[in-house]
Amino acid sequence: MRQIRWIEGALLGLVPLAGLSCESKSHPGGQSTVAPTPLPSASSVAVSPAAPTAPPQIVGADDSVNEELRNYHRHHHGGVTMFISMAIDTLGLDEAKKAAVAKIQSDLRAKMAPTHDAEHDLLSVIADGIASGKIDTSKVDAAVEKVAVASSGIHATTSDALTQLHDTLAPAERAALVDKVRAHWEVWRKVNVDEKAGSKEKGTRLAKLSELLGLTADQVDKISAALAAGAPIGPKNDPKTVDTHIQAFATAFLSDKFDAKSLSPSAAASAGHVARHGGARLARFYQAVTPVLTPQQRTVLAAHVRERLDDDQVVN
Amino acid sequence: MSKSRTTLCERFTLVAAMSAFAGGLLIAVPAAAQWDPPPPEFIATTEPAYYEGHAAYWYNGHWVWRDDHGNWNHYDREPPYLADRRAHFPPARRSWQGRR
Repeated sequence: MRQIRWIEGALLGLVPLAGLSCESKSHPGGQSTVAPTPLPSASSVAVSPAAPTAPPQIVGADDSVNEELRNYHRHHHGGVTMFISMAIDTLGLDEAKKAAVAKIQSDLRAKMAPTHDAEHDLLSVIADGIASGKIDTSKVDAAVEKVAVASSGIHATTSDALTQLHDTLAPAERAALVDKVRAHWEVWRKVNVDEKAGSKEKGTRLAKLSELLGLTADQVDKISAALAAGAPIGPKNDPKTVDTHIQAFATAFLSDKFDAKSLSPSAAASAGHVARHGGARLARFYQAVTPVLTPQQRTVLAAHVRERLDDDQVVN
Repeated sequence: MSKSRTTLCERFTLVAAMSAFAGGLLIAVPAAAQWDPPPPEFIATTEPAYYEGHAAYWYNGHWVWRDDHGNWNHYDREPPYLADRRAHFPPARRSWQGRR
């Protein structure tokens, strides 16, 4: 009997709690918050009314635009300035401001041309190697270093353009740009650092390659084993230097006054990391893949890598 | 004894009814309100709308935005300005792959 009363009391206690939840749901104009770290399912009480147009399209993790971005960052390693240039593309500015920013972006891209050319060379070396059946390691190393050296010099040459960009944008637009730069870095890091080498899980580089070429299970296993045995990431390739630089950039760019030259210390520390780590990982992947493929698969893959030469990069 | 049984039975009925009511409310609210913050891929590829001093993104049925502390928020009710904007200028997404 005592137990029954306890259960009864507990359940009665739930009713007001449920009532509170119901009350907050109908609170007009309220907002709810989610912590910066993405949660598997945000607890919220908000419900948007019916859209004035078609029902919202659900964007899943395997959304094609999301996947294209991941594939882009697997193949291009122009560094933080490249992330900034890409962020400008989706700022959603009004027409008047768009023209002014396009001019700055054009200047930014022109200054980044050496990096673009170096990336072009790296991808060409890899594509040629895939087609011939053997990727030349010395040529790849030289091409990766060329990208690293080119991207290391970008900060000094683009400082004025970045300052102009800051001065042209409103505070909310600057915050959006910073958010987008961070987002590009997160995606780049996800596919080039966090993804375990040789992983066969859905959405990984190897799984995507398997879809593209119709690899057999035996081929996938051989490639996976070769990648897993690859060189580990050394302290030289610690992505924290880029984290630090992006944080310094964010703090400076969100301020009322911005001097890109003040970022030189963190830019110098992070310079070349994206190029060296990303370029080396890209090359290692195709070096592990190439010996396992049939001649026909190599032809298809070489063409696929050459298509990446035509990606919309830092120079129009 | 008979009275005691009747009382017990009534209480069981009352408790069952209340628990069903409370359970129904607790289940219904999260089901209707589920939302997730957008992944970085979405932020990187999508044009926002600017409203109340921040960039807002239309993501899976909600306008979401980040506050000054980096927390993701969303509007309980779609502001008329954003609803109108969405009707006339659907948020554009960008791909860099395969174009130049």
